Amino acid sequence: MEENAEEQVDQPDDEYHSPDEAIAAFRQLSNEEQRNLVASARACLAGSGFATPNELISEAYVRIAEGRRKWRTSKTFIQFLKGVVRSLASDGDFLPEERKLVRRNKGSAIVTSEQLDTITIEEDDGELAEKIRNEQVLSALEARFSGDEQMELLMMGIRDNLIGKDLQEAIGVDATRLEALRTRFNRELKKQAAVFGAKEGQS
Amino acid sequence: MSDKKKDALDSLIDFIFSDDTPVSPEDEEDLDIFKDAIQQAEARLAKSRLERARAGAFSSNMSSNVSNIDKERAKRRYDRAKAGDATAGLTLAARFGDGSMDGDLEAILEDLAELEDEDNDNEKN
Repeated sequence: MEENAEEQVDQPDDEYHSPDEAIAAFRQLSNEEQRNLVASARACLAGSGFATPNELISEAYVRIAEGRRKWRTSKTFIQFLKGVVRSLASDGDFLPEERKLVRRNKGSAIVTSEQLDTITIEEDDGELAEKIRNEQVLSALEARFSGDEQMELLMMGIRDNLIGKDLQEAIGVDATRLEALRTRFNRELKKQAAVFGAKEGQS
Repeated sequence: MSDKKKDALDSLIDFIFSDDTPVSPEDEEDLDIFKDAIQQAEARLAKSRLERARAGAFSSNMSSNVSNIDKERAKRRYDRAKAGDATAGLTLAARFGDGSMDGDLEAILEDLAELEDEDNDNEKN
């Protein structure tokens, strides 16, 4: 969220890395960071069906390269990147209207004025819409893991903003088990994305 | 993430990014997605750079190279033609003389000066 503000109003005291520096850092992400970025994009897009992780990351890269998303010197690049991914996924604003409709119609490009009105209303309602979208993401994930006690506890911990040891304690697992839960979480999201991609006729 | 209230989506991203296990063959698909995304983004950036360059070149071609001196000369010729001087070598349509086109005078003078430049170039060649 804080990075959302970064691109809008420059505070007098703010200092930023240049777009070139930010892009250099983007290109230097380790394999582990690349994997985590893709997994984060996938998780943030759960429940929307409007975009793929590929599209979200590509959009983030373009906006950073063009200086539309600025990297504050007080943040690490990963902190900055997390904010960009999160805000892009939340605003749902980076796909052309027509593309959203194609997605919504499960591949069909039929566009009526009524459908366009629906999209416009959905995109015009600002902060409330963002909260609703975020809730959609979390609800979609919770629905996915419904009945799986440990995963449900994991989602509850995440809702309570717990991380690391606090999250382990809340779920009642050790570090190794938490890692296993994360692996399972990521696998489930991949499966879900694959099902969605197959419906759309994508690979 | 200190200056604003963190919400559950931030926590979800933090949770995923806290994965520090080395990549496995299972992660290859994600690495490919990342690579493809960067390639597509670079292609988009290259395309928009090209479009900007084209627009710049077009705008540069459209901008006048006509100097004020050229325009002054064209203005004198225009005034002579307007006063009915046949030696001005310029024929004006009747409406030009009635003041209705004065708003376009600047553009007309630029055109005339450019035409003169072209004539001069042709004579040289």
